Amino acid sequence: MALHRQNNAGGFASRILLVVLLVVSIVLVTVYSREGESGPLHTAQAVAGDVVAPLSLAGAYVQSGTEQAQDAVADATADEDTLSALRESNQQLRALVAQTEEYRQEAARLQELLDMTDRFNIDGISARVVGRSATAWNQTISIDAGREDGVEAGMTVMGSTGVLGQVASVGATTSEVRLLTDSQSGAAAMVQSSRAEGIVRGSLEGLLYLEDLDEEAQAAVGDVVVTSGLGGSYTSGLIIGTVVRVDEGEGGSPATVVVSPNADASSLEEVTVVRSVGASSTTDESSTEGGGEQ
Amino acid sequence: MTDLRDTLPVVVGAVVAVLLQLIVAPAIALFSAMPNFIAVYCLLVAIVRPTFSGPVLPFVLGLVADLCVGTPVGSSSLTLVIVCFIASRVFAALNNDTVLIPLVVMAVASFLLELVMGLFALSFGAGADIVSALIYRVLPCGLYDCVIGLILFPLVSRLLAPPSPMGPGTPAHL
Repeated sequence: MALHRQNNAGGFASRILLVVLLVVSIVLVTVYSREGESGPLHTAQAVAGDVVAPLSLAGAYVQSGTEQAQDAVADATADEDTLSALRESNQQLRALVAQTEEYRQEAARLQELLDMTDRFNIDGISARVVGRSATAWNQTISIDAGREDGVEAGMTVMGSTGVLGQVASVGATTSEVRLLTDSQSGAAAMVQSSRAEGIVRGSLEGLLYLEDLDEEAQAAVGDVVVTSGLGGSYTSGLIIGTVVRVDEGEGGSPATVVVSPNADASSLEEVTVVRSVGASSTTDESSTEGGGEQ
Repeated sequence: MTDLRDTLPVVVGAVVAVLLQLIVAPAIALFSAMPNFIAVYCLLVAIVRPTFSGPVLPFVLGLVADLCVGTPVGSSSLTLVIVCFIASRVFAALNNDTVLIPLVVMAVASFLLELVMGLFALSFGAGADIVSALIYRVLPCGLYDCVIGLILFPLVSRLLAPPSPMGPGTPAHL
């Protein structure tokens, strides 16, 4: 009898606890959705991101180990035909190495030229990718530059070949970058050749869609898409990708434009957080600040 | 002393689950599917120890997940508390000491959990419709969680199985 009563009391307490925790969860979700980026829950999240950033770096080593294991399995299961093909391919590659060395030296010289051009046109902060999103619902990366390095939320982030995304949250020494391919991302963009403006949005399938185009807008496969800078969320004139599919709607206007991103986040190791682009923006800023220190 | 002996493996398992989520999960993602070790662990505890496991473990782990992986704070804890509660009650009602029931409960709960997480993501501005969410995230991630759960189930049930009321050395299920 006493045991039965004790069990009842335990069950009642457990139910109360369940209800309390559910209410707390709902309150947290509500507060999170209503507070700004500087709210206490967002701040706590940024601090937690800073704390777990070293673990993400460890994850990169695990990823490297996983890839090596996959290669080892593929090598171990290769048959005789595959090995013969590989030997032949190896001979061809040896011949290519000498030629590649020539190209490498040429590329190094061109890179120096590019660096010089970049030094005068893009004012940015270099950072290393130290982690990737640990949930399937977010397409984000962590970089090892934060508030102390001058990174601010909203800054554009570039890979070596194009726009990657935007700084979503900033910690003291690390930042989280929401990739353009994330379904919550959106950037004002335009087709470079026709100057047709729209919004590039990410999607769950990892593609970019150029939406909100005018009815008269022209877009064709192969057209380059760049940021337009409208709305101020992204720096203008940076390459996003190229149009790979155009589905025409009524009257020949493009209904759906699929854009292939230039920058591939999966193989990224270094990125640049853009402060400003071009000499004109620097001039504008200094004139706004009343001719401050150059 | 007995309480500590009961609780310690669950806490250690929770820490391991968080570390696996942060370190291993991104490395073993297959296309758009990434396993949710934290959710799988909470479900396994809810199934293996339906009477012991309360709402505290899923709540705390959900909160940790939200803070560390960037999902809206409170969404994972709310989802985990609800789904784990349902899973433990369903398992307690259907358990017939066969392996089938925990596996079925695990599979259904995994998909339910990813579905609710998907609804949260959509309501927080993910630019997608429910069908895309189902095809590209809920089904692959649910399937991945399910496979991870089935792999870990024997291990977790061995390590966290409730102590026998008859004393040490006596099988729990007679």
